[in-house]
Amino acid sequence: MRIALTVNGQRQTVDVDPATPLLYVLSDDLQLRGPKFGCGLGQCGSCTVISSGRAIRSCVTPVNAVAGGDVTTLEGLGTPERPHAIQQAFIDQQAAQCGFCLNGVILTAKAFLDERPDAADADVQRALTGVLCRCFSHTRMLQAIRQYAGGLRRGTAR
Amino acid sequence: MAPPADRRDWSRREFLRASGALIVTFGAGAVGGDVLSAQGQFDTRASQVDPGQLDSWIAVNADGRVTAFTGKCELGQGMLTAQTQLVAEELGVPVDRVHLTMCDTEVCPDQGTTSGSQSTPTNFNERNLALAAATAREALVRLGSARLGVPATDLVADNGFVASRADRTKRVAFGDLVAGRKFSLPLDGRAKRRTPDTWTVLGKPVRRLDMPDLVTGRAEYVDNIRVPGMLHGVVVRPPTVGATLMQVDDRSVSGLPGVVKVVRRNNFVGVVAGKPFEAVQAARALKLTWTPGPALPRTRASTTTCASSRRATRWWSIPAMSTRCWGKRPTSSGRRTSIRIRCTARWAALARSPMSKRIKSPCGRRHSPRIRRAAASQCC
Repeated sequence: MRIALTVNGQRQTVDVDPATPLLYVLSDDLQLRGPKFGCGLGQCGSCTVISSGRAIRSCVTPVNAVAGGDVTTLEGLGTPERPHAIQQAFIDQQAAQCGFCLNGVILTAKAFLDERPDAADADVQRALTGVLCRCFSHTRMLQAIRQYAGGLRRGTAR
Repeated sequence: MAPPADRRDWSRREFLRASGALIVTFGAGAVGGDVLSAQGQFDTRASQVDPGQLDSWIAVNADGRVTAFTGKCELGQGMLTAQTQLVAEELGVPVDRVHLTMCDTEVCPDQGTTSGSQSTPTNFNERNLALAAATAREALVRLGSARLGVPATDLVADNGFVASRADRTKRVAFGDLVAGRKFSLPLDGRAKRRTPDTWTVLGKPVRRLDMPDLVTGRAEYVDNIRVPGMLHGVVVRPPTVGATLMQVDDRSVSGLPGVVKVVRRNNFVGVVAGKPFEAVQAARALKLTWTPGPALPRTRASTTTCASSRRATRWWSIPAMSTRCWGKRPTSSGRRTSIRIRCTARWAALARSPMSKRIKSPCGRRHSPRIRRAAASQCC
């Protein structure tokens, strides 16, 4: 079945079983590397993408559920040469070890803070409870997220 | 039942040839004893890339950029950055002129496993990458000596140049000395490492070189690797520990898209397909007949204790985990209230390396699906 969706601002059409999890379409049909297969059960967050402003888990979202809609992956925020403000914050704070979970951490934090830029630290932490980081880089990640939130409040990040 | 034609067109060898990868001839048999004297799991060993030759480790391009090769892999330790610093330091070039190629088995020396915190000592100590860089620096100084007509002892290698110690304007760039040629030299076990008091790159903070790629989704992980003609397999696990595979109904997946093959070997069964999700769907659809396997041990709901874990261990007949605990009040006088607990804990080391295809169990630890099924209530 042909399904159209807008991924990172580009209109795409894929011909797949509509029940195919979005993650497989992004990784195998569109060759994106941002969303990762972690648990495949929607429990770890590494497959997160943003759709309609919300962070969703692409490994348990059938591609049909976002047909005609928009999807933003980590690649869609910025490039190594021109990173998005939240990506720059993670570079500034050196907030990763293996980086496998970064996709989920960055996109979950971005979707949450874009909605609630004044959120308290505790709220940010609560929003990120379902995103697992095996390397234990949490402290630096929270610093990076704080830096991005500060930019949002000052109007220097978007 | 066959992969799409475009994926069959390329073999790996053709891919490597077309992408310009260096194909090195087999010559490892002639490697000297020094480099290969030790043969632990972390050590450098013979492969089609001869670790005894300098060219296997370091290449200086005509423009002065340096490419180095190592068999140790960046997995989040920051090793790419640290070992790039190492090459820059030993060779005498700025960090941003060094490109370190890691773990490409076609072009990098085989340095065994990347584990056990051994990759830094392996490459920083007297052998391997550090020795290669020191050998290269001394070779460049010798070439510079001939070019400049200055004794090697009066020359320094610094910032990509071999220069006269007395008159730094008298210098020649590394790129001009090597001019894209190979060194064609063996590693020199007597090549002198730079001493820490002279370091200008090592020991100084450098930002992770891979961070921009990591935060923008450009980094490649094992799951992202796609080579031409690549197929994807999914293993179908038995429903219970100890179940034996009785029958495989190949026809149950014969009409499914992308399915290439059902593989059965003794008690192992898996499905191979063109795309990952096609393999997942086929694995779900494959009709298998298993023997029931032994019954699960009884667990007292209120006391999922150390003892029950121990029993479970025996029952699995694998050293999965066991804990023996016993506690005792030290005195009966009533003064001491603490309980002394002695505990012996054994835990089967499950490699955490593959981030994928593992399932979280109720205890929060990652187990393979097979262990998870058996362990559901008493895994930890």
